[in-house]
Amino acid sequence: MTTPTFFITIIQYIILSSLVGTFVVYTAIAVKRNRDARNQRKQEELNQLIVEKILPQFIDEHSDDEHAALFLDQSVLDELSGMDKRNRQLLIDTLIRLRWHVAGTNALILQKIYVLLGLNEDSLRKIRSKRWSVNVQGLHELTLMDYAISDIDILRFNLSDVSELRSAARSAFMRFSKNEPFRFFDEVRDPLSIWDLIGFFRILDQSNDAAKSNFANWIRYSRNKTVVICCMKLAAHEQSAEAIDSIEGLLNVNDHTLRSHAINALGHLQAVHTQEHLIRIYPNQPIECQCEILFALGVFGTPAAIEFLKDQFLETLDFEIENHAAGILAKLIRKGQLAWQAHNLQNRKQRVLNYYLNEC
Amino acid sequence: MIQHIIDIFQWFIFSYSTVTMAVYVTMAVLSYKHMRLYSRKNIGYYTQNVISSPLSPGISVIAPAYNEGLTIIDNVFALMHLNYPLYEVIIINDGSTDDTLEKLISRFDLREVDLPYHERIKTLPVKRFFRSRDKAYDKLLVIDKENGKGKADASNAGINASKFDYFLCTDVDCILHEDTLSRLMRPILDEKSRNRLKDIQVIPDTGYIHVEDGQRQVIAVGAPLRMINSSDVDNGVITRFRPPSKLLPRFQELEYIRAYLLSKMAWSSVNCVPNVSGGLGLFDKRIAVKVGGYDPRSFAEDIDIVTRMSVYMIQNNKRYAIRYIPVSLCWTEGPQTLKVFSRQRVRWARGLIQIMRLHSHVLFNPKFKRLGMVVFPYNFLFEFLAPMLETIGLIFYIYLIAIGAINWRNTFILLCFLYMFSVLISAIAVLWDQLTERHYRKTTEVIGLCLTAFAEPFIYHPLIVFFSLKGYVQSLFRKKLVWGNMQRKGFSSSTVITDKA
Repeated sequence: MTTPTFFITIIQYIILSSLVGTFVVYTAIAVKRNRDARNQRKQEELNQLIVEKILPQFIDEHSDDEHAALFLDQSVLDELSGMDKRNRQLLIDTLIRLRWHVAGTNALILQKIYVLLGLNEDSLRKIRSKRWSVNVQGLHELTLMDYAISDIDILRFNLSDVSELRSAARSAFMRFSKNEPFRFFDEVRDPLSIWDLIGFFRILDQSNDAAKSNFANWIRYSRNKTVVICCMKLAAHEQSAEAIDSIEGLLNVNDHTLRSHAINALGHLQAVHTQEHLIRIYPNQPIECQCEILFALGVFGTPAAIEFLKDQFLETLDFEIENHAAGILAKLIRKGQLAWQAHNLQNRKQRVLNYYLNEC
Repeated sequence: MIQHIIDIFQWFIFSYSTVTMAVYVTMAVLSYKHMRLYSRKNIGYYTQNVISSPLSPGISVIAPAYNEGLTIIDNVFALMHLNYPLYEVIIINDGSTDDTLEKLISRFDLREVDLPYHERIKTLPVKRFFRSRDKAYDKLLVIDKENGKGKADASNAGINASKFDYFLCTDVDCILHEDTLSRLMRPILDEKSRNRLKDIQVIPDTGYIHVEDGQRQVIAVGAPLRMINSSDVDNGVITRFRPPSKLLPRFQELEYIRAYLLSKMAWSSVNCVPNVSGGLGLFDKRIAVKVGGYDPRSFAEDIDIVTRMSVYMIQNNKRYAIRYIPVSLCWTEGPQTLKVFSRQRVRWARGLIQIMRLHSHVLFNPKFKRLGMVVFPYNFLFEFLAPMLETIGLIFYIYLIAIGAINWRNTFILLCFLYMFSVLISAIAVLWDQLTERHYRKTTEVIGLCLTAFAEPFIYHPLIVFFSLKGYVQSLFRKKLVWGNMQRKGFSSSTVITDKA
């Protein structure tokens, strides 16, 4: 066979493969659409069932959950339990979506349905799967449906090579560990993202019964910068005053990002005693830290802090600082903490302050 | 001698086609993996996290408007109903000669305000700022400025006036999905190093030990754009998706699906995204300002800004990423007439040649890492050179026919090879689209889109090649580019909006 003939033969094979490939792809499109249409029909049926049978059983928030359990209609449960595997996943997803929008007793009703239908077993099977994506799905389902599992079942995922799995395990651990929900911070060897932090906040807001953590040690001793930042945000969110000393220690670090987060946390924690320190270091800070100092002083709202804010607003030539200070001063004026007549100021400053007073 | 040249040329064309196809197959595999990973990480209810979190960073939505009087009110309403906790909408009236501004003032009860404005990026003069008296529209800021002969200058004015750290650049005539901001923000919030922490850095002045995380900064995020022609729109919300019924926008729909779901997804998976579309892109404002914002002289300001941002990050030794997500979030009206289409494609071709010239120092330069060794070489070899090589190949075949040296059987087989492969790639793109989301209600609509792929190589592809070459020739002779006003249909049959595409 000559070289051109050889290539023409190869090309003919490629043409044939393309033809077969196109046919396979079209078949896949048809199968996918068929399956989607079926799922959509089932979802509509399920939604109707939920609207007609489950939502009417939602009760007043003040009732106790035992009362709620009594009124779960057995015929509805029977109808739901007859679903095949694919529909059970639809049901789990639907319950999670509903769970997202309710709290208290009604959340418990949904959790009861989840357990009574054995959907928790489906989720538990998922965390035993060998595929990480299935593990993640199982962990999320259990966390979001608030079905507690043991620490040991969760901790084994903390050492996983897959960051998504580690992240899901941390959320689950945080939700279910009664004593120290953030113990996993000791072991975190990978960077935490803002997304992780958003998840932690969400779980904290949903867990009224969780033990209060002391973030001071992680802020002081963690070698992972993202853990330190995360703990400062959490301490501020939880108003954990024990963390203030540790955060204060970070005011002298070289890292601007870390320092600006520390100043922000001190502001949120109303650490008024750090006021003098913040004012003292202000002139040597980069703009992001200066803005955070102005924010913290605005939160403190002491006469000295307000005086400093006024001075900075009047003296600065920097657009960002000027606007930041004006925004904070306008808030203080609106709250009645500061009586200041804008018309006494020079024209430009007056315009900036007026804008924030009237528009923001 | 001539036979020898013919042989070499044939081998070159064959090799080029084969490499192009290999690249497409690789892209199909990479994009599939990327989409699967995305769907595993983004189960629907996760976006609720961002929507409800106080930690979600603020976003400024920037939408320049030029003579959009007929649809501006609906479009602004659509932008003000996005699901996100903290954002502002900045409409820049770019010296419209119609009643765009008057309509905004009247409908949203706007009054002039003295906004503290810092011209971080130089623009043509900004005349006035407006805010609504009605608290329900407190997200809205309207800027009135002199016409900058393009979107770039108006977008820069929007960036200057924006108050948040991220900005979303879009066109005011685009319809956005309500979860656009939360979905685009997710890759920024979730970017993390895949490596475990290793390097330990002792901070001398405190004795604290912290680990360098080596995280990448996501500087831009994009998502697929789709054609809105033939879809039903009610008050700025798409109520029924349909593939465009007219041939030209339908071809473009297929082209967009292929470009976004195969190409951009694949590039995103290896962190080599060449550009973020001007119709929908979320950017890190700090970096965009550092590089001087959009270049008003550029014909392809979207590729240009992404390239300059990438160059800035590389030159400052910062790790960065540009991401694309596979979910279609933005619908825009495609040109329906050949004249409008021609103008758009000529401008794109001139933009590409301009980018290649402006950033020629990046091409094949290892200092610029993936940008210099993958992104630019790909654009040069498979985007810039392709129309020229295709034309040379065609002329070559005509020459062979003329001298009677053509082997008709082999030629037919080669053409079949190219044709069937192009149909296969389009089919894969449609499948990827179906795997991502089910926009089209009827299966016949999807079949129609698939069948379009059979006609594309005969009708649409030659047009693209022709207009690209026209753009190159115009660029070569430095012909002035006329942006002009291009009439096109609005979202309803009675509406005609003015296009500055």
